[in-house]
Amino acid sequence: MKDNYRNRRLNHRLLSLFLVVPFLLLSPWGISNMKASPGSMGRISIIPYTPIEVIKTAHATSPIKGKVAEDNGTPLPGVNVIVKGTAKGTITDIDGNFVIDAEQDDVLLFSFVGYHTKEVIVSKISLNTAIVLVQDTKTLEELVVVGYGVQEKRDVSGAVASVKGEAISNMPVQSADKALQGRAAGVQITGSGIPGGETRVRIRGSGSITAGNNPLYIVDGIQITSTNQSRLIETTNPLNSINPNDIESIDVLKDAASASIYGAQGANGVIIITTKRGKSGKTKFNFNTSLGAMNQLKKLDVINGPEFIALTLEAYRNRFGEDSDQYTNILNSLGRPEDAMSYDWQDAAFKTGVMSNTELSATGGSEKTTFYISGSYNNVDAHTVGNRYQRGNLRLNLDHKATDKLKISPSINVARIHQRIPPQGFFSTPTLSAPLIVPINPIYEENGELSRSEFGGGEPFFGSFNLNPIRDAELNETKAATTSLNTSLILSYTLTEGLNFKSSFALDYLDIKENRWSDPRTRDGEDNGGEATVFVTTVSNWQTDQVLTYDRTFNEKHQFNSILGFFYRQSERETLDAEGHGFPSPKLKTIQNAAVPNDVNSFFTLFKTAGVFGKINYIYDNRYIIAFTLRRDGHSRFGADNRWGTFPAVSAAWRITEESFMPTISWLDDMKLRLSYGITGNSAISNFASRGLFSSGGEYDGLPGLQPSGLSNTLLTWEENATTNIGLDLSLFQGRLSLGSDAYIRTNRDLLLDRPLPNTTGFDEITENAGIIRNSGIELEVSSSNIIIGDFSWDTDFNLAFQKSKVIELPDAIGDTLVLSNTGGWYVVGKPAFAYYLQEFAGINAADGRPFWLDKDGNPTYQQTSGNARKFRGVATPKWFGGITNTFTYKKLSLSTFFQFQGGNLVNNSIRNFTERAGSTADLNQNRSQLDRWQTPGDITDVAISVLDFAYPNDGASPFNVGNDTRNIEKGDYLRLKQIQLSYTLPSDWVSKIDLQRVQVYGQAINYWTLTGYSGLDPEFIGTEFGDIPQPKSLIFGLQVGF
Amino acid sequence: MKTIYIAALLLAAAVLTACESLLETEPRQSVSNEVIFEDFDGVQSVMTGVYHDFQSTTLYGRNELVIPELLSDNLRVALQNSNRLVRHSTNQERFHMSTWNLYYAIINALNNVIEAVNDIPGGSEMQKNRSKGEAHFLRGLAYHNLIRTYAREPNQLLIVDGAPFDLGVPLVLKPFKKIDESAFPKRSTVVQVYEQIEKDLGIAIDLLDNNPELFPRYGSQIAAQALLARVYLYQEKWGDAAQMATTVLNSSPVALATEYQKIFSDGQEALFELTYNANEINEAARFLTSQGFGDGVMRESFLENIEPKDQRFIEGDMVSTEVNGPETVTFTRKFSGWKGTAFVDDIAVIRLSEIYLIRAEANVENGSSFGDTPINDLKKIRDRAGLPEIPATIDNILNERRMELAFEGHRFFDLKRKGRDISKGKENDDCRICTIEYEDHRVVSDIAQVELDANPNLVNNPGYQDF
Repeated sequence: MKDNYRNRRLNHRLLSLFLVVPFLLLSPWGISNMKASPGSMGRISIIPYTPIEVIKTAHATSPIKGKVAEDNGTPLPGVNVIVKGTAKGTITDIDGNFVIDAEQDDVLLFSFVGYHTKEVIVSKISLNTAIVLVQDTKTLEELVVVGYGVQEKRDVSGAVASVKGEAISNMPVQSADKALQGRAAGVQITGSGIPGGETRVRIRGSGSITAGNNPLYIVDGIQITSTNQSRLIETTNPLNSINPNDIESIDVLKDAASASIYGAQGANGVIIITTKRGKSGKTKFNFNTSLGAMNQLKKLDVINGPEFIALTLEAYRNRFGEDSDQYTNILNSLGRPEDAMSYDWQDAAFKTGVMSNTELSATGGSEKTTFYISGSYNNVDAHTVGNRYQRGNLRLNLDHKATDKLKISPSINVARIHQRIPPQGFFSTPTLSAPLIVPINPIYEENGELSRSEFGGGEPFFGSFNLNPIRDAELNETKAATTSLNTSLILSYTLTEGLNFKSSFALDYLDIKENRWSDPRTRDGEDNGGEATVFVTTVSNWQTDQVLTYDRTFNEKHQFNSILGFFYRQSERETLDAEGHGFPSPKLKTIQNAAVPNDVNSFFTLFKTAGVFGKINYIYDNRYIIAFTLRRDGHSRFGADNRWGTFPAVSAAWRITEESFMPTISWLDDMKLRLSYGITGNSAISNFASRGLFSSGGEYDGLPGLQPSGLSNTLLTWEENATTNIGLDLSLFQGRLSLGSDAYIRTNRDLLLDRPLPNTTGFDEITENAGIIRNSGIELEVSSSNIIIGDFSWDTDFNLAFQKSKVIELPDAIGDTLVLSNTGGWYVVGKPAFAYYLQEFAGINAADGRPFWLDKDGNPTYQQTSGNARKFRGVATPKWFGGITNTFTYKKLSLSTFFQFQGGNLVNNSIRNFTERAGSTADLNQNRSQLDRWQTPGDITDVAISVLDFAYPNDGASPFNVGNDTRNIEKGDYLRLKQIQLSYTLPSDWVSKIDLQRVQVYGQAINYWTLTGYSGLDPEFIGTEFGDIPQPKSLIFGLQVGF
Repeated sequence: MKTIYIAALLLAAAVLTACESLLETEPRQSVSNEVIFEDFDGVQSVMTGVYHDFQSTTLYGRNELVIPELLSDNLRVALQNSNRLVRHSTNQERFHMSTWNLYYAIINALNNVIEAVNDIPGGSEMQKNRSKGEAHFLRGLAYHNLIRTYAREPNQLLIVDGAPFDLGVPLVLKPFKKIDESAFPKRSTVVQVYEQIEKDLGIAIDLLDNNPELFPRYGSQIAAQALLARVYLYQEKWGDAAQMATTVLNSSPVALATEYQKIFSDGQEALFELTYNANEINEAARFLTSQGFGDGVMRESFLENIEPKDQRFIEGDMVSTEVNGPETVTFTRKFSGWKGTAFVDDIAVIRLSEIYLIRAEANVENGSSFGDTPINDLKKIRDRAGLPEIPATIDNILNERRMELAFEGHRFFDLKRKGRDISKGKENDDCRICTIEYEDHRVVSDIAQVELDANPNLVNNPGYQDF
């Protein structure tokens, strides 16, 4: 018998060596021939919440009856009840009752996913006192959603980060990706202060130079349109349509082996969002509401009116002399400094914003049918003028078991979003122009209305900003109304035991109507009597997956989970624009009222992608885990000769603590070593990047024109991302401390690179596969229950990632340095990607007040160049980042603090190009630092002479020239108290008196404390801060009621 | 049950075999390069696209008109300004015309037309000749505007390291299809480039006529001849210039405008103009008028150079003097919305007055009187301006060009082709250091660093150091 067993074990080991072959086993014929051994348990381990089957044993013992409930008395069905040290077990019924055969001195183990496991001696069990299980958010993490399935965390062999819905619930964010910030190691997230604005998510750095670096987003199995589709509100977030509180979990597939089941699109990682689904039982309602105030994070310290005039007069004096007409004129026009008025434009551009959120959800159902339904309304009147966001959404997730074998799961999410943003970009953004506008210009006129400057007959402003940006932001409108529909239908059919067929169809439909109105009382609309433009964008994205899964365990020790599937997705984007001008009244803003409807435009684009994939996950005796994945993908974007790519991956894990040779160490629960290697693809380029094209190119003399717009590259193909990952997971002290660590090397080769071409070709770039970039890093996640004393507990979750990148190879003809034609960014072989190459600013010449720089040989020069004097100064992406959450709970009171941090990166504080000119252009307000300008020979200062619009002889250099130099480069390190929350759950005996189950009140503060040396508005932003709307700090109070 | 999953697999298999066609897509607002020239419409559309490019801000929509005036002594940027072209006004390092990229994009489009036009099915011989002729005319114009920006004239070369620095611009005469050595051209010599320009214009003159339905909004025989006269002048081929000017003046379908204002308000005397409508803003008009940004104003030295009673500078008609921030400034009204709408004024690339002045200058330099005497030609221009006769010296003719063609993009290039220093204007009002010598490297534009990076065969102009 024993030998027989050994042989079988050996056979299976041999089998595991040839596991590529087992794809054959997935064929229905193979499966039907492979009968499970008699007596095997047939446990389907990938399906959550499936109880262990009752095991009948030969021992004669007495039946023990009991009941299991939550701490508030609600019965808990489905709890596993096991006699400790045996395989005997049962589960509780719908009322929480159980019956089990056990002896009086046996110990019963009660376990249920999401609750602390409890041990009770049989003699203490009675039907009168329910055994109470306490909820445990930590153990929820035991299940992770991976591609096309669910795995227990202990069985995962790749690198996956999971964030549960609870951890991010009630964060005042409009899209869930923002809430991920600082929660998952190696996932870097930045965003702006526009409610519903774009978020930039980078998983394990950026592997591409010019192709997209956004991860793939999958919501309940459906790939959603994850890039911004709006055209006026360029920072719209595609995840806006999903209410973050509907989310059950977010799982981030970080390594290529995990992501390779999504082969083609997985190169930048995959974010899988799983929404809540119904649970059978009494219908539970949950009502949430919150109200908050938002305020400006920080103000720039700019000079006031008298200081501005003094500086301006100095600039004129240094330029023209005090006896000149120009000096006399400016003095007459501005008056003496001491008489000047001063207005705080920053106070006018910002205000106290109000946000509110209300939602109601219900979940319940019968044995056959369960549902989750929720509706929410989110309203943000943001902290800057003309900046609003409203969203209503409705979600219905239904699961119906039509027969024992067929399950039908329709899901639908509908969202309607209204946004209004202030004028965007550059100087028209009020939050940007406010610190720059000359402070002697009044915000209001004497009648209390916003001043008009020269528009509509007002008094012209002094300086570059000769319009009132606050008034413009109120009169000119940029609005978007988005309707988003995500629907899917999933049919699951059990063919035989363990063999399932899942057929899913989904439509992700987006309709965005944007309106821009340029009021005739402003500069933008003055010339043509008002101008209205409407932009209509529809994105229709449909997808189908046909997947066979086979999950069986043979002889208790050989667990197979296999997947074979087909995928197809088609995405169409269509736009229609129209413009009209000449309006009878500013009150009539629709094109219908326009005297001249003068511009109509439309655009259509699409892509198609298809793939086949297979995966085999084999677990031997809970000790050895090995998974193979193979995917073949095609994409319409690539050259006709090179559309298909193959993406293989393999991963393995070893649970060392399960080995018999491992001594039992009391504090070591689990130790697992993981290793993975895989290849994924990136296709994030424009839909027709591989085609030689002529596109419409303006008109002349009333005729339409065409212009060469693209170069043909029939060989263009996938960018490949190969990741090697090694990881170690530890669980210590009965689960109180868990550690997860990963180290990876991620290599992107055949980059989809917009390679610069000499402009003499008529083009400035061509997309080709060339170059290699390597990212590598280390990630650490720690979760700990530090202290549990009586009713007091202290938990800590910590994550930290270190990462670096390196340019390994560039196209041959380019040499060692690639300078991108569109951004001017530099990439140098052997150096990190996304780095700053700048000329060194060498201070101010004390003799004449002129700034100087160092040339390529390190000698001082008055000239700035774009050439070899630019040297590597540091990286733009953080070298390390992470977050730490501490939760203190005492009885019903809970306090949590969440800090996030990053560092090692440099930031170009580009607004200083304008606010730090020593007043030399006399048309923009200046930072207070500029008062330290050079004034007389011998002055030692970092601020140049103030001299109006001046170019020095011979070299033509200007004192305020700024460009690619180190002057405005600052360290981006920061530590921020992102969130502090205090919550109190009312005692259940109080709330049950008013027929409620659970009432929680909470208050939280967001962004209230930051430690940073960065002098700009916010060290946390997308790319450059210039023109972005900085995020606010907020204070929120909320109430959650369950009934 | 078994049938279900077998059916599903068969379905999947069927779908997979159909995969290639599953992934077929065609753009709808672009045409692939294989089909663009399948009919004659393609040629016409590409030519329209090229005219549109000439209209753009980078070329005649602003820069070709305004920057040569800022770089020299006609225009400066007002103290109160919109931050546009400020550094051009003070000739700062590397602030020049920046027309390289767009002209080469135009040249590539024209090369496509020139290569394909003869073989296109459909389209009459006349249509084909016209498109081909226009393409050669516009390519000649593009190369001439490039060569005068990126190199010195053949007779005005500077000695660098003991030899005349004679590099012009790369000559690209075939459409770009794929990356090979043709993608990385060297700079041809100035003389080679001028030879090519003369060749292009010669073909254009042969192929084109003066179709009244298209003149002057499209290239024509007379426009090509007029441009050729200018090209001869730049090369100091005085006799050729005077004779070609005479040919133009003898056969021009339009006469000299009787009133100066009508040149701008009515498009009179244009030999080739770019026409604007509400869909395409003339940014030069925005730059030069206070209805627009009000950035470009006349230099003090220019204002002082205006002779009394010059009809070309009548306040309220052709100029407007306004208080602008801390100063009183004078704007030109050449592009002040004569059609009734702001910023859609047409722009004459070549007009008849220039041809008279070309002939006068060439004849003086040549000591000849082809067509007419220089003094008569000069008198024609001055008579219209209500000014007395003056001797036809080179200085007087150059000065007349400065006043007559002011703000039309000639002044800087006139000084440059004559090898003259630029006097930026009145000290303190217009400039602090007011002279830029002809030998100064800033007179010739640099080639952008990105272009040098992308094409190792290019050499930058002398003086632009690799710092």
